[in-house]
Amino acid sequence: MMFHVKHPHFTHRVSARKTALTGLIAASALFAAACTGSVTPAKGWAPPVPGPNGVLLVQSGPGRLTTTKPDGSRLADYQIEGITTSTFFGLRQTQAAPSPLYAAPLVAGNAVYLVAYDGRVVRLNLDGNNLSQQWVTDLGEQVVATPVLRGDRLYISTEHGRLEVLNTANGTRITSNRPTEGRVWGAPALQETRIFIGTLDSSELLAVNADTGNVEWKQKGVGAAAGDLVLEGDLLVVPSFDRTIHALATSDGVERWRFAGDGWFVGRPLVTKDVIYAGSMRGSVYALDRAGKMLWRFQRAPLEFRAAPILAGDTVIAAGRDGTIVGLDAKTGAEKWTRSADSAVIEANGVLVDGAVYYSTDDHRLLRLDPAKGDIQTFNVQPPKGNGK
Amino acid sequence: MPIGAIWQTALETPLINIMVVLTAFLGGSYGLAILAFTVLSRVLMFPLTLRMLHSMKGLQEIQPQMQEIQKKYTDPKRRQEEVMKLYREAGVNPLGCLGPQLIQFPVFIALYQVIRITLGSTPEGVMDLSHRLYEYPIVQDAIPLSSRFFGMDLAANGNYLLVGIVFASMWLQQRISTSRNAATATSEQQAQMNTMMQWMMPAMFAWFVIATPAGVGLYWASSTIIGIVLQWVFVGPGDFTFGSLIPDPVRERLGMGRASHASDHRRAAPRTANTQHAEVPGGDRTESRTTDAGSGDQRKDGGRGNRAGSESTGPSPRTGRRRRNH
Repeated sequence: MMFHVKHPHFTHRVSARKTALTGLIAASALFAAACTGSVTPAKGWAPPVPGPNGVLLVQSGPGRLTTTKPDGSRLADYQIEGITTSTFFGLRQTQAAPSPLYAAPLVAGNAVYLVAYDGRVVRLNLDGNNLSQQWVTDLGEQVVATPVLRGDRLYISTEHGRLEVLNTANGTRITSNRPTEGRVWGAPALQETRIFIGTLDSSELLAVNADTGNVEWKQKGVGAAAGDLVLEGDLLVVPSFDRTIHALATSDGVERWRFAGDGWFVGRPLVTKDVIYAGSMRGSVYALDRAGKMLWRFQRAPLEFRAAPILAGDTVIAAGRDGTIVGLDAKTGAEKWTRSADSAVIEANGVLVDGAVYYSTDDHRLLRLDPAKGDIQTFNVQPPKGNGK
Repeated sequence: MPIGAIWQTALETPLINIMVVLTAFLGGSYGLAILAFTVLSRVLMFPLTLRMLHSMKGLQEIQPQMQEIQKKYTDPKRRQEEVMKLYREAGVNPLGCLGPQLIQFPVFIALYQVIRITLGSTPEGVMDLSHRLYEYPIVQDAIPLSSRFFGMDLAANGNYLLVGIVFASMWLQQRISTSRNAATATSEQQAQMNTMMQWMMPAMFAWFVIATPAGVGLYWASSTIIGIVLQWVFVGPGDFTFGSLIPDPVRERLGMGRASHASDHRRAAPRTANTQHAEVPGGDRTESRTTDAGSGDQRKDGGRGNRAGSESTGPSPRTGRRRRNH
């Protein structure tokens, strides 16, 4: 009798404990999984840029610029020092840390302008193999967009919609105004005295007078323009998050045509004399005529084409974020080759220099690609540890 | 499948898309989307919440029997057995109150991640959203989301307005709950624990709100306020009165007498089970019901503050709502 009375209690207790333990373990595992998952840190997507005397300027680490030869051998390094502020459980911490580069380095003769994510602007002098700092200015606002150079003025659009104009001789601020409230990520385009700025948040495109800072016109309805704007004659080509390529008249901002694709257009469209090439974040590469009519489409999911397409001879090269690079026939869109750069993430645009295409990866390696065959060489351009400058 | 992938597929990614869709439907306001999500989640959890509230009510209703057991059995083991038996007979699960809290916690964590991911604290983060979004135009076209809401940056940590709201609302919720549980506190130790919880829980969540994006604070504040309303409507406020929020020195100066804090009842409960008076700390012997009367907050049933005394006279305690319906 005792056995029959006690046994169910015992069983009940054991099963309750088991259930509680299982629940606790499952909850802990989920909690750990949730806490370890994090947002991708800022790494910067500044592309490699050709400099004087056949050198390449490459971001070889967060906020670090390295000059290399085309064979990947390092020449010189420069590190922008920055300050990052982080919050850990409510406690604000400030520490010296390099800030990554999203904006492409701007080269004018021997002068190189760098703009770091934390808003530091640097002018370097590239003298032979040496990089020497001329001046540094802190804008105090984050910057993603590549700046625009006009004479002795450097125009920089910030993440908070501010347009800063700096004197290139000494880095002093000439003017500063806020033509938009939206974030600016794409490189503005310059046409004589007009600067065209696309915004990420307010779905508008602005034409700003470069001398006065006044807004000449605003065009709504172009979606979130995160990519670089491209100017071709009197046409402004705008890639947008609204899965559309917009073509606007530069004179008044009126839309001439639009092309609806399958995903976000983030990469800068490649505009040639007859054809416009654009890659989408849903794995498509489109070729359009100058009226926005589709000529061909290449599609391969789940690739995401964040980088701008490159035309090398009769091959269109498109790099997916996962490191898959495809070569397409420029006339038909037929696939010529596909290559994969091992464990590389390609966010940055590529550059065509002396018949070879260069990409930098998010872990700051340099890829050199043969456009004809797609063969890839990988270079480590990071300086040895302890030799950051 | 790794646990991280399960978490992402089962909870995080759907929640990202739900938030984006809600934002699109609510005029692009992520703040309104968070509020709508809070209401939706509370509606979905309502059956559980109702069960929790019924458990609370049940615990309250078996209080006289609990008091009897406390008095009758001195052996802790035997007492525990009798208490468990009482729970079974009354169909009450003391852990039933935990369900909604436990379910809310993963939602809270997931929302924390979702807010960080969807509001894209880094440019790469925004790009990463591309493969987390479902292929519906309404979802795809809603990006990027604006993090501004009534002057707040929902992506930024440490919004002190929300910290204040979360602390105050959670304190109030704990205050109402502990006032209801005053009679169920069977020992001095438990009474102290209740008092500690009343301050510790709001403090802990206020700290979370400081450490997490303001969007998470907005969710927690609105969820707590909805919880208070549900508790008030379905169970009643217990012996809580707004008059009792006035500090004792102020009350005494105004001639209102001392407040009958729940903790005071709990401390007094074991000793005053058969009397009409509860001894409050400091040596004052005060009839609890006069406290509320003094403040003008006396209920129609009168003096629920001295529950221990009234319970011993026979009728089982009932919710404030029921009493008001008399």
